[in-house]
Amino acid sequence: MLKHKEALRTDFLWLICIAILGCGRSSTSTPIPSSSTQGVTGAAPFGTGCQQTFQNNWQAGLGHVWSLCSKWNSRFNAVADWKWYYNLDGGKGWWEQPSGYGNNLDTVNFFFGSTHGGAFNGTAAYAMWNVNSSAKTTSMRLGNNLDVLSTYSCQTLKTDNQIVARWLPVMAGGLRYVTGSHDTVYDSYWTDGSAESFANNMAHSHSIRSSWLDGLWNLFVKNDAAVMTVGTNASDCFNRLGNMTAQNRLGFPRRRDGAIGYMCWTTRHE
Amino acid sequence: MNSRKNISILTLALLSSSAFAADFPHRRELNARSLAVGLGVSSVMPLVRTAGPGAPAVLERFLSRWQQSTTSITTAGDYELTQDDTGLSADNDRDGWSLKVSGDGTAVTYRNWAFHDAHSVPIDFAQRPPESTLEAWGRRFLDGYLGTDVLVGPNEQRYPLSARYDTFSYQPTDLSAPAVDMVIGNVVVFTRAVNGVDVVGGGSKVAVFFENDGTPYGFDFDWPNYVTPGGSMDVLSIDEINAQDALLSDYQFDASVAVDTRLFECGYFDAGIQFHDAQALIQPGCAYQRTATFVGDPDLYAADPTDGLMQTGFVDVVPAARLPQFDQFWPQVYYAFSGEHLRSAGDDPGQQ
Repeated sequence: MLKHKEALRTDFLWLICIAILGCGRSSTSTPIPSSSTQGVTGAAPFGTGCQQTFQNNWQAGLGHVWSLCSKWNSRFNAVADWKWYYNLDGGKGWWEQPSGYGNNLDTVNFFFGSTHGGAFNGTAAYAMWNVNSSAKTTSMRLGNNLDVLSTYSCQTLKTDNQIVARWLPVMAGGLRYVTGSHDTVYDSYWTDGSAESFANNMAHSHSIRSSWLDGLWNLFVKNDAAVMTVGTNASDCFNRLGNMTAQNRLGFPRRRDGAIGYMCWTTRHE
Repeated sequence: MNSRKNISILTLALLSSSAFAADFPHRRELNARSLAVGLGVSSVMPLVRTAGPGAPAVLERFLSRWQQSTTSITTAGDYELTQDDTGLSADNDRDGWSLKVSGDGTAVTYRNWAFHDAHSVPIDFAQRPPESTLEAWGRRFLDGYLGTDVLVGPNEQRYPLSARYDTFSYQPTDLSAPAVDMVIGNVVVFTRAVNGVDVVGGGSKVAVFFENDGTPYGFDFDWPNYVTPGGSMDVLSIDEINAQDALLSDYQFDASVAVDTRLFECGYFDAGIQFHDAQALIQPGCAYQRTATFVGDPDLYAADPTDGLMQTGFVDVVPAARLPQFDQFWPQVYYAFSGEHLRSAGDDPGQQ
């Protein structure tokens, strides 16, 4: 990693070197500190859980999830500490009831997932591989270790009059931040780099909100990106929603149970 | 059951009018025309995307242009230079701006993240800048900042395409008050038509990002020069296009699945420089952006047919030339020629 000050303005050799010889360097990384309470030190641990095909085709196959998640893992691993990556066969348990599983959503600081999603009456839901199995947010309480829950799934942050009911159970455990979609995110060849772009933006210490909105932004495909957090009041929520980064998140105390007075969210809206 | 034909039929029936709420008239007309007649012409002259001057030269040009700027569009200060397989980036993490030039230099992305995070003052959603204001701001920006980059040739036209709003909403968790919706940012997107035919896809697009007071804080463009190498390509009718969709779509659904077409746009398909095959022509195509709704929880669905539903979004771009030419980065063309689905690398990681 090199810092350049005015260098390019007087000397193009390095750029020419990159362009012609491919002698550039790998993408830069800003290490993301760990906040684990289980003794993990150094870079923050992260886990990934994704599903592209479904048992007996109970849900339509998604053609590009493995590449989406692989790209996420590759890029985010440059700044955080990759711990595990699983498909969602039997995933309901380690999404909803983390304590019974060695690796689960609450053993890492960052989790990224991709599968079908839905906004049910009173709960958001994520499709697992197993027939008729879905993980429901009203059965999830996260935040012993997890800081940021990110999912590339449709509708889980739908902004109707039930968003609080769907997400307060999850946030009550102290989870700092959620990224997702209020309507549609597209499975396609043209969008399978979205999570990689999100990771790259976070690596440069941009706010989680801007990182997610911009990561899913596309001049072709109209992804509907949304983020959410909680606060003691509206002002606290606004501050946390817009200013939290992967690097500074530890400066935003976990808000649990009765300390949560407000929920707030941002969408990129038509 | 293969219900590809169902998709084609439903395309006509279920095009969501609400999806066009923030689209400009040109896009609404493009969608309506595409649904009715496809491209609406019997043949087109294919285009070639002229190679740009290269990412290094363009990066240097933009870095120099705003090096002394103290406005929201600036490249002042230290920056970190990186390269990946898509292009070159300069990032000033301290002051919060980033500049990326992709591929051959015909696509550029700029953000002043720190400025936006510090200046995104919420206003009531009802007071958001109307589309006409965003269009005016956008045109002013293009003239003032990108006048030598986003050029419009003699047989070309530039149109406002869509507007998007970044919201901030909040609600007390005791539900003692309803959610309050505000706006913290605005985006306007322009597109281009060549020889009277719209360019669909990520190519020939320019987006400008504004604060609520009209201050720009970012832009994206993918805006090549096109030339016509000669010859023409016969174009399929809308019925033939829908038949091709049934054959080439990446997705198959049971007849019980509800498919909703959010966007349907026919024209020259230019996916943008990141997905451009330098050996391929810019050919006619029709882009479908659709959602499919499935039962995700049978018990909930049985009790209430509006409950327990899950959704997915998917994209297909069907070649609309009667004799399309090969393009290694166009999934449906690739499938038509090879019988194989185009995928980036990635494998099932296995079960915990």
